[in-house]
Amino acid sequence: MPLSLEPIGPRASADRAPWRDGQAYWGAIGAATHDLDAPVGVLHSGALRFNAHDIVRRAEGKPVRIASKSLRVRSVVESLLRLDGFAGVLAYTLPEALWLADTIDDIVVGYPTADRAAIDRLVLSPEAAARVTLMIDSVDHLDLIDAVRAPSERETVRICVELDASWRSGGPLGTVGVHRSPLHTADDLERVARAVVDRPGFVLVGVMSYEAQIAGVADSGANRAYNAAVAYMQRRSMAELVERRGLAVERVRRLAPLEFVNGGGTGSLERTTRDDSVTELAAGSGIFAGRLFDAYTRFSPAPAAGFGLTVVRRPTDDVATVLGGGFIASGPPAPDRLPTPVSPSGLRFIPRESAGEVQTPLVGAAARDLRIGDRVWFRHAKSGELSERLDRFALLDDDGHGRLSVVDELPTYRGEGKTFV
Amino acid sequence: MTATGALWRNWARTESARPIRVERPSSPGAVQRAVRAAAGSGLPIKAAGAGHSFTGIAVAPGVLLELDDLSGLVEVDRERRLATVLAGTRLSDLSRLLSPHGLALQNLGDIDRQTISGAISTGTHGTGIGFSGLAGRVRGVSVVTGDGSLRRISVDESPELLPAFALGLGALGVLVDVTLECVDAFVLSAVEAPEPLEATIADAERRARSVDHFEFYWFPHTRVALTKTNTRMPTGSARAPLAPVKRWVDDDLMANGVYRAVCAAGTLLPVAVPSLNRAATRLTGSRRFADHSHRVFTTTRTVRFAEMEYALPVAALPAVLEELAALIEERRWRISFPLEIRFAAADDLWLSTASGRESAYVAVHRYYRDDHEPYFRAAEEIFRRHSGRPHWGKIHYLGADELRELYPHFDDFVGLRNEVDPRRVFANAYLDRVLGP
Repeated sequence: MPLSLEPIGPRASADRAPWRDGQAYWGAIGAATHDLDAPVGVLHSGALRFNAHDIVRRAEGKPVRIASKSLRVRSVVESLLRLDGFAGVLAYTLPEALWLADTIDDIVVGYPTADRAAIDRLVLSPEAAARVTLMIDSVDHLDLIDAVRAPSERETVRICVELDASWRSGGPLGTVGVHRSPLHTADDLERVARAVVDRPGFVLVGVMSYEAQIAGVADSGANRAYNAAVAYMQRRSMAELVERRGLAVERVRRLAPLEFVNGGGTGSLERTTRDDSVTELAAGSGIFAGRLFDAYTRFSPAPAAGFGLTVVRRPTDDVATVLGGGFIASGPPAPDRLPTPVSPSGLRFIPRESAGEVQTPLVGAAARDLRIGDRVWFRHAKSGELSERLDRFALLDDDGHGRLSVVDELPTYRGEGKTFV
Repeated sequence: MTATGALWRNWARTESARPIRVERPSSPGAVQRAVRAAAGSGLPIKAAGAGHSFTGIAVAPGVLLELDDLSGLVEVDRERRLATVLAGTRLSDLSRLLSPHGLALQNLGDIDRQTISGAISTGTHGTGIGFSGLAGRVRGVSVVTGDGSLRRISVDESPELLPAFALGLGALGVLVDVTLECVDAFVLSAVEAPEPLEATIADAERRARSVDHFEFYWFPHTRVALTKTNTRMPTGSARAPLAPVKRWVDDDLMANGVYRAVCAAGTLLPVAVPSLNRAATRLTGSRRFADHSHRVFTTTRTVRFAEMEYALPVAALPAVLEELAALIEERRWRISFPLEIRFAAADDLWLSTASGRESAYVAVHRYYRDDHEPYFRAAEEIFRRHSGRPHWGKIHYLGADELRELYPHFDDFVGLRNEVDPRRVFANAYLDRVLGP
């Protein structure tokens, strides 16, 4: 049964949110996957459906471009694209975009590329060149493309310019955000946009700016003072960005009829969508909803993905060791990038060993009762990287008799033999 | 805005829920998106008004919509006396918003905390045998149905469906705005007096027909009726409002403070209830005043209670009251809250308690800490023997099979529900019970 995110079942029911009772939820997942060998990755159809429709709601009418980096499962990307409210893919490498372009007709590569072989494939294929848009933030990127193949010998390349969305607060916070594009002001953006427009072999179709400091920073953690500081930073930063981005987009629109202006991420949809200069949003992590999204005030996604490892040793009475480890999320290495054991409840890592080895010892009240062969369920901290550790996900859904069961296996990129970055 | 994990409780503390998600839509588009997202996930969704229903009619087990940000006046057609207001507008605010336009609601109940959409959807009414409940004045609604589409049902568009949508129990969709036919602002003159119970009951129908708004209270264990007679005065009539201190003493201190003391005492010491009731009756004196209509219609209720109310054929009223008195006597219950008797005109709404017949309403109450069920179940038997119809927002124990027999349009309504909400996006346990799954 392929994944469908369309409404299912004859009747709406609050039971469609089984994750509200975490132990029963993971218990049912464990029972449904009992016969699968570890490590076993699972996706819960109901939770995926919930997250997908909630993202559309939060986007408040603007289309959502799917950030494939956070999924890395082709069938999930394609089923999202069949839903109203999602349109296009924000890919993370050009080879990935070229691979997806076989079936998907609107792909923006979210990061600049210097992959000469991939560029060559892009510019020699009329179909790929019409479907894939490259990201740039400097004239050097244009030079590199021209050096691969001259404009007269290739297709026109679709270009998106990226505006830096970080906030140069000028206060004690300093610069807030991530280091991406060097183009910060309207003047910066206009200068590079003009270079694209003036140059043969390129067409300027879009602008992107990703406000990582808003989309990617949780504002509902354990520390109230920290939350308040985050809320303050996000409010001020968004106000600054709306003004600056509005001006920059207006200037670029005078040079070229833009097809899209992309902004935001899962964590900022309802804010970014109110920026009139933005025509579409990006989101991806909210679909699988890693644990980092548990700490946002503005939305509460369902834990749709998880992975199970099996207990293989009992070094002492109070330690249970599972085979498998790592599964560290991307981002600055810190405890919040670790996976979390969620079932049985009451397990935690041993600080000196943590989760980075091939095997992972666990302690806590529940560890005493675990036996060799028992399964422990974990949630990943972010989203897409989980797919790099597994070759497939077991897709779980109601089997029509009120029981959760495996209805399909969805290969990850890796399972299809693709590792792009 | 969205929040999660919040506990929702109704005013009477008889119902509660912990919704999956709470949303505060601030535009019709946001309501549509909320419904589409819920329906897409297979979750139920429901707008809860002020939570003043005693039943679970507003309980949202899935997505709860709070309509506080969808409030205010949209448009006034002074000529036709039509006012369109957003669904989350509270009745108390509505009167204030209408007043600059020289308009008022024709009639009101005694609580004004409800939202307009909640009030009409549950069949809220006041008293006055010449006047219908609030929903009877609805001339149009905008509603988001189960597929997320926004429909307009009004005297001009799909008028044949207005008698269903104007009092829809929340089963047909989420109301976004409501168009009401108002009247020119007017002054009400009020007379309140204790009177002998037997004579009041015997004369009730005649009095209801001879004045604009008649109602009375009866405290069990006493033989006194506290009558309220409101007369509509022409616009511009002189007002003689209660002095603020007097209003506070009468309405807050007496009506609520004394009741609270009586009720709390009654819970601890049931045997004292009859004499406490007699004291309350004695302490409530006569008074006369005249004021803007909404100030006279409504009162403050700070003592929590549970309530059952049935609509009866007017002629059945004396017999029903006699049987209730005998019941309380026989079971030796100590009931600290009064019975309330009111009247309303017939209307043509499919699920109105006054659908096709003039009604006398009898309401029974119990303090929220007392167990109301034995009393209410026994009272319901009496009401049912006299062809009573239960108020949708107040406690009752009927299901779809029994209600079908009371409402000629019941199956029309269910058919319409199948059409606009086939997947039961707006259902909850209460609607499953009263309309069927």
